Amino acid sequence: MTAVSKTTVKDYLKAAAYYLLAIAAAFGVAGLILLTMHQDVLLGYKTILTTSFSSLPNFALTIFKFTPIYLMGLGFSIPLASRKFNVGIEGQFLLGAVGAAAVGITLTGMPGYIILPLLLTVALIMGAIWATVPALLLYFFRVNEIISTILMNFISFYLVDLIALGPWRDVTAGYPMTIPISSSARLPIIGSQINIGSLFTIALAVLGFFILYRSTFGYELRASGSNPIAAFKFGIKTSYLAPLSLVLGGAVAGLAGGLEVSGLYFRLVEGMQSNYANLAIIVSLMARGNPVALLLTSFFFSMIEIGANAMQRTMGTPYEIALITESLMMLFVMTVDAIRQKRR
Amino acid sequence: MKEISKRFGEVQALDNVSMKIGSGEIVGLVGENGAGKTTLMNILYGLYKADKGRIIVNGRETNIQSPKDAISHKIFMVHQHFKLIGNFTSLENIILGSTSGREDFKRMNLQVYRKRIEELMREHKLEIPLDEKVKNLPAGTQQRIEILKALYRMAELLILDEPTTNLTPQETDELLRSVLEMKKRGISVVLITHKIREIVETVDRVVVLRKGKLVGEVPKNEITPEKVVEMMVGRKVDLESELSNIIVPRAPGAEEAEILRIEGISTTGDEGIKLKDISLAVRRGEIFGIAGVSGNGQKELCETIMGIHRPIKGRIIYNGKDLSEADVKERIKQGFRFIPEDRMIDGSLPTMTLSENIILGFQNFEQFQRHGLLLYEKINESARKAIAEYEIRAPNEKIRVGKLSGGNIQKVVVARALLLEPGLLIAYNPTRGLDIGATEKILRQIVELRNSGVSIIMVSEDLDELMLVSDKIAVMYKGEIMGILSKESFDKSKIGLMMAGIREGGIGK
Repeated sequence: MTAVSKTTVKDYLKAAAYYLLAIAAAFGVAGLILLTMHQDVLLGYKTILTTSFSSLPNFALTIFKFTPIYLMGLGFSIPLASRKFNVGIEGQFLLGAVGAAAVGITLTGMPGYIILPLLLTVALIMGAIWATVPALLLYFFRVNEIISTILMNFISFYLVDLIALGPWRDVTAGYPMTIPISSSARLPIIGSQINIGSLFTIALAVLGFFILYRSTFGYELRASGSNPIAAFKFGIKTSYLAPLSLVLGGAVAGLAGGLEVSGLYFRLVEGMQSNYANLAIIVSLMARGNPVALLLTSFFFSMIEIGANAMQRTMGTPYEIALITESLMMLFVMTVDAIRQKRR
Repeated sequence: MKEISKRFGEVQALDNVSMKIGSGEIVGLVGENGAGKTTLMNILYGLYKADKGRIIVNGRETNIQSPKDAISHKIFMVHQHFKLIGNFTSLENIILGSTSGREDFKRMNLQVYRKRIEELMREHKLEIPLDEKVKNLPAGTQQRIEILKALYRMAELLILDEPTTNLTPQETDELLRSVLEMKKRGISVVLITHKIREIVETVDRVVVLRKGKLVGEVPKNEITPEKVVEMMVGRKVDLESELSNIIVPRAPGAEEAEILRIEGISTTGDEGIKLKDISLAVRRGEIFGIAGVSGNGQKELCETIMGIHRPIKGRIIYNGKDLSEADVKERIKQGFRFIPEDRMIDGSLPTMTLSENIILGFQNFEQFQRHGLLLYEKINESARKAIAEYEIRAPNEKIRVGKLSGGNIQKVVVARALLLEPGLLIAYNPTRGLDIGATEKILRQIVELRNSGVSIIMVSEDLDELMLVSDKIAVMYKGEIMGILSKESFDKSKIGLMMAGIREGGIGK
């Protein structure tokens, strides 16, 4: 038995070494790009890797980025277990934000302990509803979820426009956004800086892990992702599991939108989804859909984002260097996976 | 071929293997699954490149990089899975690739080609309908087309990979007769097989491989199946006498209670072969064998009994209960167990652990979950037991099943089916791809299961194996049962005729 566990440990170490190599390679190439821009590469690395921990405000900023990236990553990871690609997390996030804004704007004069749970629940449901459309299309007509969720994203952009320029429009702002939500609908801040919404990520990481890896539901979901034919022939109702996982993913992404409205912007703002969806997909794929590993990858990416912002301020390096590094990392991880597969 | 070595990752597939093929010689290349037979021939045919070693053709050292090179040296290979174009006729398939350019196509003087091919058909006793589309032809005929294709291009060496797998016994005899015809005309033939009995009469020499190493050669006059099998496995094996020790005969007339009754099952054929009015009854402690050339509805029948497909007509009664409406989950709960046709396609979850694979279908059973949460302690324990009992070569129960070898995945699939007291086992080729040792073990387990009162439906394309363990055999042809024989009346040629669609005495059951 000891020999066996030794080999597993060795395997894990080997895998870790491979991924470190991939990350190092990504940083290496990013460094070369910095060189061509006549930048101080080592200072760049230092800024990217340490800014998040340099001060409490910077750490809080990192957490602010981390929360939506993680939750949307989870919204991508749950359907990923059944091999469905929920590219619609962006739209589901926005619909969650719309729902949260609607609750926060219309319900005034209610205490926070009533309005906050209500707001988050509505956000969750709105995200789920937005994912239900592709889910039903998948269930009844086997419409590819990648296409349908992307199309739902487009609709969501214009829906946000419509609302941000509609009756709730903040006329004092020079940019499409709604009037702020009531003060009781705002998430409390803990430790003077850190948004309480980030605690949701930890709770959902644990919950997500248990659902996916410990429950019979998660088992059936993963089985139908691993081999739908085998799962079906052994009595798993694969036809409804995949659509259901999309709806669950949508709910989580919707919650992320609700948390952003209630904890950060206090209103619906056009473009508030930033590039979170793309980052979320990358971190989820890198974590292989594991909610716990996703904590690490999301945090790492948030760090790079904050670091790159700092670089732009202090060194004048374009922020896009973050995107380049992140994409390279994904590509190198994929390369490493391919190599590992081949060497087997 | 001299001192050929080939390594796939950590596996040494071939280790310093040398072999000679004389002109006009029939060589049997035998060994268990994974012994390296096909790999060796794929190297000769240019599909793989050897890490080490030389290939000498007609006295000259040759560098064969691709099948194209092999063909230019008049070396041809017929694979287990034929590479024909279904929508083309036999004639078109034969000449495909051998026409020498635009002009030929323009003229497409089919009459000329036809004449040459008809000549070949006569010479080699290989009859095929030339104008029929290939997709409508049975496997035996398709194989003849492949062989004719090679002969048409003046093959001097023909490699046949497991040529008897998809044939009825009669078709096998015909094939071997044509092989002898080819020998007469100076063509060399390599027969790759693990069924030594079938080729004993035909071959001039047998080359035995075991685990990538050359074990030895046996010239014609010294070949006995027992000896060759011993060389293949590395120890004495006698499946027949081993199993006959534990097969308890039943007193005639002392028939036990009927466990499963199938009444007039028909399907739409959407899932493959259309089943036509199938009725059968399986008794307690009985192995009910289903014979037939693969693809004649065996798979569809098994899956319909499992509840995977809904029949349009007919009833399924198990232990007196009508389960026609029950889904797979319910049937598994009632004691149905399933070893599906293909361990990779429908038998395993490659990205999940061995433990998780072992409980597929049982994930909602009391033993393995409480309030919807899986009890991994118990699941892992069951998996560890299975690893020990079935000698699954895995470092531990948490390994992803996709990382195991095919034979070991098969053991996982079998272990799952026998994990929790089966009532009815539906076993589709349970020993597929297993070495002789593991085959023996699994057949023994199935027989012991039968002795303990479990009913078993077993599909196998290995007729010898099926006749050895079954109490009854039903023969399927094009979705119908051609006849059901009981043990006393098992007869290979009779079964073979039914496999080809000829009913006993020309009438139905």
